[in-house]
Amino acid sequence: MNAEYSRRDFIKVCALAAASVGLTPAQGEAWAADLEAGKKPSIIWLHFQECTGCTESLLRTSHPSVSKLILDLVSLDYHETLFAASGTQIEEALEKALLEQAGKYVLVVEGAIPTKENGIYCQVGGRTAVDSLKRCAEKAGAVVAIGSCASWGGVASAEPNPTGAKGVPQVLEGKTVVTLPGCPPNPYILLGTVLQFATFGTLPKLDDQGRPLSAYARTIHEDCPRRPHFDAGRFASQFGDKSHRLGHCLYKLGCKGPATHANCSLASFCEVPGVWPVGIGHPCVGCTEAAVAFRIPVFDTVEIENPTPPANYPPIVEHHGSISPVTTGVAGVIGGTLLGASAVVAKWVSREHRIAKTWAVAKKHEEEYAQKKEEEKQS
Amino acid sequence: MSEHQAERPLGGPIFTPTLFVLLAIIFSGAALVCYRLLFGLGAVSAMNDGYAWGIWKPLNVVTFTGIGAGAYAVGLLTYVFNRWQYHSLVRSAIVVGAMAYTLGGTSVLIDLGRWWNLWVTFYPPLYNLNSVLLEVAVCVMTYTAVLWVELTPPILEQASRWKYEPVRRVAKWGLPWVRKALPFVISVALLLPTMHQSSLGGLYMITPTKLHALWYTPWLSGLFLMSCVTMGFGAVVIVENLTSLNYRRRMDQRLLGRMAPVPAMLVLSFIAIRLIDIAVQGKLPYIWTFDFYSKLFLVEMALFLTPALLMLLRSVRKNRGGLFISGVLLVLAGTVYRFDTYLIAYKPTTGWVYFPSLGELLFSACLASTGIAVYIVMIKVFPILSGVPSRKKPTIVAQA
Repeated sequence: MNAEYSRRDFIKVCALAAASVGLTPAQGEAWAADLEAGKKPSIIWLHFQECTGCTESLLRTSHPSVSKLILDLVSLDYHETLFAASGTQIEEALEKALLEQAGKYVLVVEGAIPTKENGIYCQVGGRTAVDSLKRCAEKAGAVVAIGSCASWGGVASAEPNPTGAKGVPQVLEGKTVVTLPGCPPNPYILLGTVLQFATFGTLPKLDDQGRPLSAYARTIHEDCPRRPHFDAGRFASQFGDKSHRLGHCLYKLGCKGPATHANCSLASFCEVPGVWPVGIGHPCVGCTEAAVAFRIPVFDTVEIENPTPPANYPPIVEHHGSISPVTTGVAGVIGGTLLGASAVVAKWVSREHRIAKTWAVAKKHEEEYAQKKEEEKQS
Repeated sequence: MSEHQAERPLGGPIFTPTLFVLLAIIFSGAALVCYRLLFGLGAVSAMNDGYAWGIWKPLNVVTFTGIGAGAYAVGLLTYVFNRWQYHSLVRSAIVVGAMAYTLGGTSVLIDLGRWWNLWVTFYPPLYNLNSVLLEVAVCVMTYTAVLWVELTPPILEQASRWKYEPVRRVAKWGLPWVRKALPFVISVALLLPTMHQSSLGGLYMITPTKLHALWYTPWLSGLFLMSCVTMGFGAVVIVENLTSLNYRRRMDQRLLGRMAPVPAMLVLSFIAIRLIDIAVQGKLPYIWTFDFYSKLFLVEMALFLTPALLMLLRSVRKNRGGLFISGVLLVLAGTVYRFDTYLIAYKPTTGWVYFPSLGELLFSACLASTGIAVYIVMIKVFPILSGVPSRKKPTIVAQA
């Protein structure tokens, strides 16, 4: 362990990574234990047609020294951006890893693969992207496509797609590819996937497009912090208008949240709360969706699957109560009756009291009279 | 506890027109409860997030148990202060208390949003030990049970005169045991209300920003405890008068009159504590702003002061009507104090209003009717009331 970060930080990152693929913190601790024992998963990272944004985001996680930590969590055996070596030296490292870690390494692919004209548009070390992908994928334990480009083509595949760019699943047909679309995706999803494979030899549960369900099962719209504004019908209609400044829903500005499956609204990107498009006031562009990103113009609106909020959401407009004249009347009658009855009862008991008193006095007089008569008789 | 023979069952027909009227209210209330359990609280009540307790707690729990605190008040006087002459009032007060607490508890249970989780209430491993309400819940549950245990002697006494031999034998066997255990039961019965009646006020300690300054005080617990005792005394006076009026039993006016200075002095100290506390906290100016709350406060103070002064007058204490009115005012003052603290002087935030719906009024009426009905049946069947003319000597009439 490096002294620059504490064990607490280390466990925390493992737990975060576990959570992002839907595992429990206990499993995160299992990874931590494995990693401390030196069993780091081997990673071969291929770059094709891309901007390196996915790698950059991995290095820019804001947690103290986390970029360093990530490099400690995994054994990066080949990475063209991060390696100090170049040329023949780096290609030798790749050959060595392919041989030594065969069947165990995780192949991470970043970037789209050009297929037009035998893939001549992207070559490394004399090999085309298609060739090196197929070769590295052959003996890989798991194949992970990071970013939208590797997942389904991304920006490189936008019309008119001059290079015939395709995603990894389209090139490696028939092979299980974990796709982590996003431009870039949250680095913790990758970390979780890789660590799960390294520790348990399993992959997260995937949807039909190879995306881990734990991160991609729900649409952004479902858990969006601006969702209450949507349900209440409060929309920003222009950048900078009053609603926009008040943080209302961005749907009318072209937000693709209702059609985009990702966990951006739940998991803070690089752990900084609010640093995602919707958080800073820009509509979601739908970067994870092959059918949306770079296909539907940014400011066009999308169809909404579920326009009304689920029943278990708290209501938007709270009923603040009302007072009905009927109930106040009835309550008044009840209260009045009770008070009136008390007065009547008081009168009755007073009368009883008086009668009893009178009777007592009369009885006393009678007794006195009888006594007097008796005395008279005796005398 | 050997002078129990002073109490006798009233006897007479149980199904009277009064009982049928009460039963009608009870059954319509029960139908309402079924509707509420099926369709939720919102379907029958006007409660909202601002006034989440509606009248279910201020009336059904805090006021009803205040009225039921007669058992506590008379118990304190009889057992703790060793004034055994008041023992003839105890049983009747306990029946009122047992019914009030049972109904208050019922109200809380029906008020539960997720009532199907009710079993947790009776399963201590799942208790939330940090909850203020837990004290109230456990204490009230225990006290309700204790009150009913306190009622076993009259029930067994009656059962030992039952016409079936086995019942008689069991009752006669059990009676000495119950009597032996009673001092311990009674001590618990005097401890528990001291705890939860003060907690009912203590609950509002968390509302310094919501409760009006004239009502919010660190003395809330003590004030609620004192006013529950005065309400209890008032209720005893009312019940004694009503039963004697309705059932031609002999009522000991002198006994009630002799007891009256106790609640009177309690009320006076209640008022003194409130005023001194308000003065010490520098809140006196609130009293003469003459806005709604200041007027409410003055009315409340007048409601407390009037019965206290009345009860200190010899002529009122000797007069049945006067003492009855004082008793009614005592209960009314305690009720108004409870309603003010729980509802009227309590403002969650701006914009919230609450007034009970017809359903809630019906439910409270149903609870009250149940209490009255059970009380009437109990005093007819079991030896609860004292001063009941013996029915075993009808020859008196013939002689006369």
